[in-house]
Amino acid sequence: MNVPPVKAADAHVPELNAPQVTAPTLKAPAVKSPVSMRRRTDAQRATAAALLFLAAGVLAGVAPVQGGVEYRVFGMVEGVFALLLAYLLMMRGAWTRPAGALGWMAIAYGTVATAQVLELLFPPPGLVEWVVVAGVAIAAWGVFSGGTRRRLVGSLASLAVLLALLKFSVIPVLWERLGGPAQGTAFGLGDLAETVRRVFADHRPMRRGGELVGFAALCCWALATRVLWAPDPPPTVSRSGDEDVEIDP
Amino acid sequence: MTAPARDASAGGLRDPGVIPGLVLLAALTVGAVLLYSRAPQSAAEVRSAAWVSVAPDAYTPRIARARERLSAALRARAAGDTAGALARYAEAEEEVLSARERAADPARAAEAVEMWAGIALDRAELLLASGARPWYRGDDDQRLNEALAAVGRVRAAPVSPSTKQRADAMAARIERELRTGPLEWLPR
Repeated sequence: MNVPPVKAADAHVPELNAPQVTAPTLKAPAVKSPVSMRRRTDAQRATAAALLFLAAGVLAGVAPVQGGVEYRVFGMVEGVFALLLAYLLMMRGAWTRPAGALGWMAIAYGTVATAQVLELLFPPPGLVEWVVVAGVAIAAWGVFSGGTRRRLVGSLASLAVLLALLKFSVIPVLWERLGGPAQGTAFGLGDLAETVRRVFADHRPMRRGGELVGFAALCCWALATRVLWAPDPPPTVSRSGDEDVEIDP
Repeated sequence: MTAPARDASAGGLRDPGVIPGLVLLAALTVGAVLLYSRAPQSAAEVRSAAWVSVAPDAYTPRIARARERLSAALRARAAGDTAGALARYAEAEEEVLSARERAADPARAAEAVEMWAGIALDRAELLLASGARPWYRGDDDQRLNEALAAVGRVRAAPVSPSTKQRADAMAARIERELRTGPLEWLPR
């Protein structure tokens, strides 16, 4: 409803048009409810999500290691897995299906950020990474494609916890405890032991605070996914009794 | 009724905050690409690089950048990263020479030359240390020749007597290392 603005000249003839003009003008702000004021448009949500995904991608690659800072970029494994996850997240409705160029831009940033987060969470190169990635890839379609988007995000969160446990707790502890001779000692046996260790996992310990940067990246990714989360239609009760929304692929 | 029509026509670009957000996104994306391509190792490196970017034709930012590169080289050398230290020394030399070209007066030019000579001799010293082997093993002649060339450039430059003396001593050491086998221990 278009409301004509009050002109300055109208103030001089209150007896003619004051009742007709001033009343709707004063009521006009009240038409917008607090809910509608808070609700963002798709373009605004896409822009905000792209910014958050960018922050997640940048932070996920920054790794303060001993003697410097590494800037890690995802590889083929993480990139392909990120494409699969982006497809699943869109298919289940966790990420709003893009309606225009801005929506696709947010999805593109989200895919890159997902790949960077996977680079952060996947184990370091070596036998452990091959086993874990192969296992996750084989189980991915069955685990992630069924259920609701809430279950999909819950499954992803559980996977993230397990991967973080492996990379930031199991591997460092085993790396320190399963010692053997140090590199360059024991008439060459140390070099051999180091090679064997590197075959299992090419672990590079982070400096204090390094894991905090990765946690900030995960927070940004989660927040961006929340921003892209499509508004719920009226809830329906699924067969299992969960009050949730099923979105057809 | 008007909002969806506007979204459909302009893709939501006219919504409040979208254009500034996209500008910010583009700027941050460029910044992220630059950050990852340059891979700075410290906040000081970021500061000095930004200063040079802001004033590329000024003398002081280039000298500050060279000092920062020199510090990075010393850090890498202390950590045992010879290749990294050599690369940082080379960057520092380049920055000092660039500063000398932008020096407004002879005093600053002489200061830049003196600083360049010190960095070049430090790099030559590291090349000598990493290229020299015991007499019964072959030296890395390529590194030693590179060190000798760097020292030769310093000897040819208008440097202070103390720097020239240091360069002469280093040249003698390198030439001795370049001799075959145990001949390196014989006096000239």
